[in-house]
Amino acid sequence: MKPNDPQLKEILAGEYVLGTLHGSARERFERELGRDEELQRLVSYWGSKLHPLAEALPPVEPPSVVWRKIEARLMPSGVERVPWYSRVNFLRPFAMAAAAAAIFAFIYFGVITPQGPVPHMHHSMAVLADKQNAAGWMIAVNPSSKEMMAMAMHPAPMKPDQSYELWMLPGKDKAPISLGLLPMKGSMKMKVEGPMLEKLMGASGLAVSLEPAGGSPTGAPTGPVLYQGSLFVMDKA
Amino acid sequence: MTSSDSSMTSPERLASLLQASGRGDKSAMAELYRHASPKLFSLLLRILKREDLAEEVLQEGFLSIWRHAGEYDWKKGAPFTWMISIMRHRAIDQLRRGRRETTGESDVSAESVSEGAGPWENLLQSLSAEGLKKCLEELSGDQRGAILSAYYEGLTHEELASRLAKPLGTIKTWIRRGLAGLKECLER
Repeated sequence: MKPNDPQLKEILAGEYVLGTLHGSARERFERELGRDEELQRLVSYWGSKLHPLAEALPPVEPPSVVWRKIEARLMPSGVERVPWYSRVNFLRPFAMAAAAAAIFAFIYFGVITPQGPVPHMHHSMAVLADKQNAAGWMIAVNPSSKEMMAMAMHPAPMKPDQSYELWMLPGKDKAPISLGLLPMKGSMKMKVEGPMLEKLMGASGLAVSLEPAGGSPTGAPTGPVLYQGSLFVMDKA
Repeated sequence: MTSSDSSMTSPERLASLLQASGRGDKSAMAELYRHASPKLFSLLLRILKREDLAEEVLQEGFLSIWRHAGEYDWKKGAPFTWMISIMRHRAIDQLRRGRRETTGESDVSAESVSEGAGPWENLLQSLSAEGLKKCLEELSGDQRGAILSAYYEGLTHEELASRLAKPLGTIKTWIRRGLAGLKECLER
């Protein structure tokens, strides 16, 4: 392509968008396109002029299996190479969350009376907050009753075909372990026993991902991680 | 919301769904898919003429949209335009790969020769871009037919020449003069 012929550039850009450029002509054009801003502008011009042609087509609903296949492969954009649980920053200060934690402790630890805590296992809790520090849930763990309680604060609304799933993060580079689905309102108790309880007490953090209704189909988080938090010790019995 | 017609969805809405998808919001992606997939699928079916291939390209195209949604901005064109160009590129690549693999099998020229713009003329009536419609109508029938067949079927110059039983040079001239005429008319 003669790079300085403006009329040729216009037409070649049109042909590129139309799709008639192919083989080596198309490769040459794409090489030029990468470094020529005028050519980029022309391609975007022709795109805006010609692509309305596609909008004139009668819509055809694709089979639902296509979306299911896409959905199964949706990972947070750009993070495919690094597992998200290795990158999560647990040291973020949660000023608002700490205040909410105090309220939670006041309400709940008055009710759940410790019955002689297991040695080295303390009542712990976590606030699961989103990126804006808004609390979605509070989590309390009572090692003596081997129970975990999840209380909904203000989880962001989701669609009926979705669930929020809670994960414990056993430590850097170790795969998350599911702790179950979270309630959208009110609170829910779950039994956490034996090795799971020990892992939970030593976990480096908790995270909540958005999953298809009923939870992750794979046993590992498949959706975006929207809330996170760390357990902290409430008593030193 | 039941509408799946992308023309019913404002470009602003599509842009905000793209932005949310770029932040990893799968429900925004699901909505984007509901709005945009029927028109895109329709286009892929025209170009690829095979449902399995159209489904495959639709799937890979949407995964590409998901991965690049964070890079989308208005400078790259309206959101639907941006998505169409991703899909069309993939479809045309797929088409030409397929043609190479089945060399000798001319599936293009098998279709009604000398039909000209015939199959696409009706579509022009449902084209909502009035300027484009008017300017396409100003072109000669040959130019318009060549441009529409290239757009809706992803045909190369050679394939158009074989389809329309015309010399390659004639086809190239129709397309180039057609595009020049279109641009001149659109900017009038």
